[in-house]
Amino acid sequence: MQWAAFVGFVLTAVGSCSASVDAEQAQAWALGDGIVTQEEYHTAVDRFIACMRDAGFESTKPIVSPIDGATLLYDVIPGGDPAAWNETIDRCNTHHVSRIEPAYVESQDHVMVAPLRQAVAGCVTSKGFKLAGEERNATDFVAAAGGQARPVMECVVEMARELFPELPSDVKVLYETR
Amino acid sequence: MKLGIRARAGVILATTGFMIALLPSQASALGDNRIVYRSCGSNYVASGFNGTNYWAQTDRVSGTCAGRFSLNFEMSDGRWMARTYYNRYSAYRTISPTFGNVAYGLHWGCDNCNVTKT
Repeated sequence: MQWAAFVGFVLTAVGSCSASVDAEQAQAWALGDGIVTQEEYHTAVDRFIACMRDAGFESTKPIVSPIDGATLLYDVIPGGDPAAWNETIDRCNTHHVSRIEPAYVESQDHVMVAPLRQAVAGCVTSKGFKLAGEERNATDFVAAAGGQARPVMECVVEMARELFPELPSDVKVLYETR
Repeated sequence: MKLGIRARAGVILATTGFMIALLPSQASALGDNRIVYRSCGSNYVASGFNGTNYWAQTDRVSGTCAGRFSLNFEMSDGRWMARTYYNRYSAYRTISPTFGNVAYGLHWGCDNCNVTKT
């Protein structure tokens, strides 16, 4: 019994490791030279969307996030059996974007578009935080708020949805805590 | 045993209240916000519903943990959205109720770490 449990543990561990290796190998075409370009990232997202479409799931058209100028934002429209959906979205993600997206997005200089920056500044100020007036991105606003991310994120998302009604349902915001 | 109108109304009210208390509320599964400790460091994990959008957040608090963390949503029908990964950034992710209600925020401290639900 103990032996069976050990074998099960080893198989699980190997399975987990192979998933990581698979992702790295599958995305090596963009990761191989150590730099992911915008074109490669956009191609990776297109391939992810095509992978989902091939399985019968539609997506909205990706748009560049006005919050950081780098992340592509889009929705994949849920449907069908949840178990089949979960298998598909995990497989497509692992094969196409899971490593390329952070490699590209985190290497970029994040800049919030000007109208959103102004709106977020107003919102954050109205919550009692003092700004230097030079904040360019979510990281700067969080720093100005003394590291309090949530009130800043609420401003960022609320203002972004107000100014850009075409934003998808699923919105990702990255920030560094200094 | 016969109950009067007031007594019967009281029983109905009490029963209704008890049944409502048993129903899962929209926010009841979310919001188990906490710091998760590992031997190499700690992360703050949180999620919630602000009346308009569901949100989930992961912050590095301390330590020198290697590997990426990742963030996702589990919907009330068991469906997961696409898991997103972060090498060095903290992350906030939000989703409107367009495609259903969110049951949990999902957080991983590394690719193969156990999932933490909030």
